[in-house]
Amino acid sequence: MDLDLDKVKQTFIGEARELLEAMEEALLGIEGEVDQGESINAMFRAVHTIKGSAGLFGLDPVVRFSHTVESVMDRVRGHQVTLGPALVGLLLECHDHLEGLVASSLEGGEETPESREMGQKLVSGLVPYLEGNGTSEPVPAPVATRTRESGGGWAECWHISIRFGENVLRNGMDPLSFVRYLATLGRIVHLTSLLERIPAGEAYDPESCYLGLEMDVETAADRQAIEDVFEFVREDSRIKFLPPHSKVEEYIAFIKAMPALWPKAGTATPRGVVDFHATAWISRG
Amino acid sequence: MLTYQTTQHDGQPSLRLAGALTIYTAAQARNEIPSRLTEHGATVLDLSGVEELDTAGVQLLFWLKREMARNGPGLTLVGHSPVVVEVLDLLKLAGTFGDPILLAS
Repeated sequence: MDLDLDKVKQTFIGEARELLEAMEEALLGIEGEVDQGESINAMFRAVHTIKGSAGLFGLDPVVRFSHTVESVMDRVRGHQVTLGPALVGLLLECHDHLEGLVASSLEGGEETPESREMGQKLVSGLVPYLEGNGTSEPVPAPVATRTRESGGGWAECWHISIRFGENVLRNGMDPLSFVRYLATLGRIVHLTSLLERIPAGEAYDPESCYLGLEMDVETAADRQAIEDVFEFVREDSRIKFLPPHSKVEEYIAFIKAMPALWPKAGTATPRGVVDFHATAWISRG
Repeated sequence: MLTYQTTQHDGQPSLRLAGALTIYTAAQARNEIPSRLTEHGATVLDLSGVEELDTAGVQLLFWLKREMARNGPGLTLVGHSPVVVEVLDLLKLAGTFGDPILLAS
């Protein structure tokens, strides 16, 4: 049903807007801060989450662009790159471009030539921060991989994106138990909780579930074992699993080759959009 | 079961919660906490008596903080009990909430 898909898209727009606002706020305030840690984390979280959500909707341009921004933010977080005025300015431009990408992606259709050109220009500006110290010539193509120096082998990780369904708590389940159980299957290398879907004011229902999670889990467990963890919430929630060692190109090729995996409007159930499928994802290692 | 106690924290009026902040008490808490805070002019929520905390409870705390930040002086969470610390750590929410967490010795 188109109505359900629209509602779900609206949720994404709302969430993305709040995150972009947080990112912009952090960027604008950061130069005056003595301890930039909190703001840097907020910015990383924002881009990381937008990327995850965009993946759930198959919004390739958003995923690709936010991946590059996220990679730079990760280096800033790891103190491999300093956040000076030039980079802040560039990131603000990236923020604006992301805003545009989010807005236009949902209208469907291909990215405009102007947008693509802007994206490439921004990526060229970002690439020197990825390869260190601006010693390399900027390249126009988006960066597909990057190395991660500290342990944690993200290449070995499954990325799990979840937006729990509204009725999960009412149905007697708790996301906390899923996280705890997942931790017994392997090591949760990275976890971001998303509470942005909690409505303001009266619209908030204390018994509804608004939680989302973006996780990277290092595990030797197979796909089935990981999927089984979420068996009871699958129907009500939007979940996406991305196997380790996936790259941008694989992601896109996989999507194109498997149109049957994408949610069809007609599969929406009264309890929510059934949106469970596994696809290749961008690796971070 | 969730009970309330008006008390002081560092000389500030505060509301201390005791018991369970979960799906079973969230609706009641959502109705009672804002008015109790206002009634006592409290901007501090003391969590030292919280013995159970689930996702519903976490959402409520987030909602309370955000509402009070939007409409006034804000809300500070203090006295995080071990249960509260464990849950916030599991969900990596300490930074998002932004309250200093003092570990009891």
